[in-house]
Amino acid sequence: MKRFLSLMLLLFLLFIPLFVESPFTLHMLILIFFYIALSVAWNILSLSGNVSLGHCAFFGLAAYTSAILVIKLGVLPWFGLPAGIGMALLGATAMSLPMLRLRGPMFSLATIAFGEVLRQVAVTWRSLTAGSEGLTIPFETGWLVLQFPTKVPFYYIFLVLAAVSTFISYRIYYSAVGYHLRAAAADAEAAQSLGINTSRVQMIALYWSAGITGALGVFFTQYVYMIEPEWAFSMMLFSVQPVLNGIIGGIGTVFGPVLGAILMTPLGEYLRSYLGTLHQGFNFFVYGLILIGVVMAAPKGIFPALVPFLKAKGWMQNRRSETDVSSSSFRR
Amino acid sequence: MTTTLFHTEGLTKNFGGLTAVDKLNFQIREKEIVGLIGPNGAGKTTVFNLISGMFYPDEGRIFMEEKEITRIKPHARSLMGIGRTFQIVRPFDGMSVLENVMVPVLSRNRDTRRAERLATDVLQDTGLLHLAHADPKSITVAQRKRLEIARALATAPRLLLLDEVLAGLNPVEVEEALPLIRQIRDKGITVFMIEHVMAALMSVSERVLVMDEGKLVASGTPKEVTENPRVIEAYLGEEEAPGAEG
Repeated sequence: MKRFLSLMLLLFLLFIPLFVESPFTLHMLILIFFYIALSVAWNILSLSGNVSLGHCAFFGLAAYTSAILVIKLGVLPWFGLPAGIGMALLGATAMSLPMLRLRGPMFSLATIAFGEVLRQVAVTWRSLTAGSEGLTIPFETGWLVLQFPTKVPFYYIFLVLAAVSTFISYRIYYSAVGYHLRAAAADAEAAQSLGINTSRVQMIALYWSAGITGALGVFFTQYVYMIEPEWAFSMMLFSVQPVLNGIIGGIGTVFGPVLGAILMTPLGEYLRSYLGTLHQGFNFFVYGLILIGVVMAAPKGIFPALVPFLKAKGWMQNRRSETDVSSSSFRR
Repeated sequence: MTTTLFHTEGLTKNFGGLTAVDKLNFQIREKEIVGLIGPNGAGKTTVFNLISGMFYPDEGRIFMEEKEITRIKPHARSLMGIGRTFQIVRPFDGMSVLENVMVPVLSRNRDTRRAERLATDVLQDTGLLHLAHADPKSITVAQRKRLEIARALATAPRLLLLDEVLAGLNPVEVEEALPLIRQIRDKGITVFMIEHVMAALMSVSERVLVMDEGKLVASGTPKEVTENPRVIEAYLGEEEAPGAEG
């Protein structure tokens, strides 16, 4: 039964572009897939107990690296992709310095600086980035240049990215590394006394998290074919949003961020377009209310709160600890 | 003639102006059960922390199976065969009893399914199998102490440091814990244990080391130690003297 439904869901997702023509709807779905991928990627790092508010740094570094190569050197975006991921991983290496030395909230504060500093650099280094004016990718079409006249190919690209990101997260979570991450997040000293190299597993989580985020930066830039510092290093869009999705959906689980992204992305778009005009920033006010509500009613997130029901209906095995969230990762 | 498994030379640790461990020399032989006693503040847990690698000594050297480990990191020492429990138990929050025990197995065995089987075996040996999927927060203190031991055993240690595993247990629970400790030694694991529950410690140890104010003041069989005037003097002013509990 479960397999049948999953297959139906997969077919449904694959065939949507055939009967949905509205670019607005396709754009919304692309955004949802994008945020599923990004929230899941961010969550991989949070498995280790490190809450990063600096993921926009990885996004922006990769996005700019690829865009600059494509626009200024005529490189194909498919080569810009590994270059972008490489830059994101360099950024991750820089972030590892505070990560291995600072505890919980202090680390999160330090990560804010990353995105902010890089944004300033992008604004100031006009010869490289054209500063605040931004850069535009010259319009061509085709898979080689990763640009298209309709949104349909990007629908599939981001669907695949969401699936890949979730798959990677799943594999990490249920592997030896996953167990070690959760142990290190719960109690690093106890974990070390049991033979876990806590520094090493945190680095593994960091690199996967940053690498996937970087890849998303490259693809999303190709989708919008423009880049400028406020956007590429936007704290709200690429640092805070995945954190919100993760916390509301269920931090420290594989499917929590997926659920969070599915719930929050359309809501965010709706709030921004319809109510943003009512009073500027009203959407953030609503986010705050939702966050408070979730933290009070379902502190581990919505997905873990649903798991008892899912298990009762036989939709989930009883043994796995998808619900067992390292809530203590915040008690540092 | 059993070989020396572990020894220290001139082990010293200072915290600010306080010398917690003062030029300690001792050795532990294979398959011994060695007790470590002393009044509060004598430096016993500090010694455990130095052995497991939580702190590095200010002076002195530590040897495991004749290899110097003085500057080796804690996780590496665990992989070399040093296991420990903590005085205040530290189960991993958010993970079941079984998963807690799987964690150390997984640092030696990447396969999750195999690790689950090996962890289940350990739970069987420590009498916790029926609690495999329980939340450590929901089980009794005695069971949590067993989990702490099970987790350390899952590292396949050569030397197991037990830090006050009997504390907080009622007399029945203490009686149930002692055979487990003997079983551990019979499997070839050397046990070094800190205890304040004197009668129990004396009944299970073959040799006892006594610390006072950072120094080793006596070493011998339980009988020798309880009759040693220097040991009795160390406990004067404390509410317990060794052997005072019948």
